[in-house]
Amino acid sequence: MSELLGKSFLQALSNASRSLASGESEAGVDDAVAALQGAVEVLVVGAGEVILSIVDDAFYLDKQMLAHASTEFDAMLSELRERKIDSITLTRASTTSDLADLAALVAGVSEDLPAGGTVRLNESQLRPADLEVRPLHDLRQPYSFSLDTLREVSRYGSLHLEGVMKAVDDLIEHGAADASSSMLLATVQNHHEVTYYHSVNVCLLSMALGRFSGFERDQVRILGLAALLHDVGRVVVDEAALRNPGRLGNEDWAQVRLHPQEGAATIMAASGVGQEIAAIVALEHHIRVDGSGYPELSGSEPHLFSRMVAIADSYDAITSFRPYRPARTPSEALRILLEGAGTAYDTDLIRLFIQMTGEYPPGSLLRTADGRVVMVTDSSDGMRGLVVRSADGEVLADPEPIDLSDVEPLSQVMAEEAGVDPDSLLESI
Amino acid sequence: MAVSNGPAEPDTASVAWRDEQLQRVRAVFDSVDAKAADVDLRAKVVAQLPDGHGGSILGTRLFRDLIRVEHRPSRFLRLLRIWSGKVAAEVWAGDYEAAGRWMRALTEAPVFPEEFAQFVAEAKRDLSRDSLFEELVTGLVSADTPDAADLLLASWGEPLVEYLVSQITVEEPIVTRRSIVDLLGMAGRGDVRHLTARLADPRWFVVRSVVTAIGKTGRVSALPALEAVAKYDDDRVRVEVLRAIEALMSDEASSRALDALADPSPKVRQAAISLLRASAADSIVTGIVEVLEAGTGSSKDGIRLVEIIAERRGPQVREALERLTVHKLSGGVSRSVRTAARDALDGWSA
Repeated sequence: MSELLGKSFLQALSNASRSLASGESEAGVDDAVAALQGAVEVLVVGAGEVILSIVDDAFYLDKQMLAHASTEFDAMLSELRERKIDSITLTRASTTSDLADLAALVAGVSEDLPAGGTVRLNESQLRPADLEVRPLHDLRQPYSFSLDTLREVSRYGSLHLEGVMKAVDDLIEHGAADASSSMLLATVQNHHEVTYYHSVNVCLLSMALGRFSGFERDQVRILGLAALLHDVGRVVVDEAALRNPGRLGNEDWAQVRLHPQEGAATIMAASGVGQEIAAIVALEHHIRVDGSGYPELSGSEPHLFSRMVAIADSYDAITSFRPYRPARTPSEALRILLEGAGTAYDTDLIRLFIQMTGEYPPGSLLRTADGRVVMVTDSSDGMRGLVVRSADGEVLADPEPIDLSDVEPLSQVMAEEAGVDPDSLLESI
Repeated sequence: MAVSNGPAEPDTASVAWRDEQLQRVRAVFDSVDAKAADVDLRAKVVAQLPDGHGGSILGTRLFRDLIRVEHRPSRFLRLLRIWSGKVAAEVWAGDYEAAGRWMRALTEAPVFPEEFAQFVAEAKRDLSRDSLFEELVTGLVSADTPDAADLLLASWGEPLVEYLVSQITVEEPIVTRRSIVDLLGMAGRGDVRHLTARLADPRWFVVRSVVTAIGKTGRVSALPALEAVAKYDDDRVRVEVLRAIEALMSDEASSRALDALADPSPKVRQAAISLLRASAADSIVTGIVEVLEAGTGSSKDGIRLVEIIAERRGPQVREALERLTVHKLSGGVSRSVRTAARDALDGWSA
């Protein structure tokens, strides 16, 4: 499955460049480069050489767009573009030396090009007409743009609401309010920029819930703005603390508990349409409907948008990996949300959310009675999906579409359990 | 086409059907069993949507929450900078109602930690720049509904009063003095002591304007301060004191007007007569008779006071007029007043 291998290579390249940039020990860097070489070897098996191109803000493996991976490795994509790298040709003979040079170049710690000729840069250029465009590509670019707006907040410590609203408008323009597309794209995660990706995912999920609830476009965009900025206090304060492995210590936890008021103040310091509601959501999204949670406010019920974002926030957090716990399945997340209905979450909104997602939200992996593994791609108007693993346990290179209306799943499984990568599967949609 | 095998088959337990959790999820669906119910649920949620107005109401509510929970000095100062920016922005935008809401969010029934009171005072002082006041005053004078600024001016208090008073003293104020006095009156409504303190100003024209402004505040608590300047040297001040007391006390101010009939200044007596004429209280009839019988004031004043009695229709009017026609050998009313009273009696009908 080339998409999966392409993603693995990008992950290994990202790890190696981060090792070099962070000044990790020599042994650590060696390990990262060795892993990179391993990823290249698997990638070029049977092909001799492969070309990874960068065209129009996306990675392409040969002619095939890696839409999901382009979003996940958005920062690296930008770094490569900044260094004017349009393509990377990888050969079966790629050496650790050349790969280390490539990682150093990406990390910005060296200007040296790979000198051995086993990794060649800018050798091949794809023309737009050659490209294969995937439906998710439409949403991927505004997703990246949204990430950039949050990175700018972190970089400059201030917020320009006009730019954030433009990012939200772009997401809506490209179909973000559609539940299935949003839920599929909202499965993207990035362990290095947890908050940015989480924020965009919560934005997608919240807007989908708003649309599903019957909101007008103007209302959806304000909700989207509020959702995209709900954790902006974390962006400003404690991204590093979030990356710490293990559970947070008392000090870190106290810091994290300040992020709602930090975010609300950051938003109020800006000016623009929807600012007040966005700030209220930032302040209230950890307040439960029974009045508990943090910070402790005057006691009035959280704003409608705060209650909606709280659900999307929890859903994405539960289904995402965190340093101190693994990701859980979408239906497990629904179960947890349901348990909190009436105490942590608004019961009506939980009902609407579950109606929207279906029992098996898009991105879910299901095992059928005959042993196949299916990824749900659409849960509206009859559930549809892709068979990604056959009954005899083989991962399919070309997933087969399947109508799941009459298929009763036997179980829901995690990606690791099923031995597939849902992110790369999304490239097939 | 199969290209690779996945990892070893996961054990049955790890992929076991989460029957319980999914049943519970399904139960939620089942509880919303009809299409109509879905519609109702959505309508119920949509009905909670904000109406798109009242951004500053939400913003100020949020702001009060923030200053209530913020205990870090640096962050509290940041909130004050935000607050200052909001007030100024609304003033520049001409939305005085919203500016007032922002002003009151900080100053009314304070919710911030007590230890930050000094920060708040400094922030309010920093906000009170002449350039912003100039924008506010000129904007208000040309605004269609200056009353919208009522709360803003009342809660701004002392710094604004100081600025307005300074405008009274300059040769060319940015707007007319009458407008400044009107605004002073609005600024004194929150705490009239900001105005009464200015009555000690050595300049008579400042005291006069402040007295007029106090009359516009509607605050009766200012009466003792007005009484204290009731005998001010300059009769222009005394005239305004009389009017201000009347504005604050209405008919109850008539005794003050009756007293003023004995003022040596014709301007003050004229003001008193005007106030008595405007008074609806019948009780002034007896008071006027007593003043006329005391024989103070000019003949002209006396004739006008008789006219004020004759303009009324109460049962005591005939008795009062008849009383004024009686000639007493020593003291009593003047001849011109007796004549006026007789003429009035002839033409008077209850």
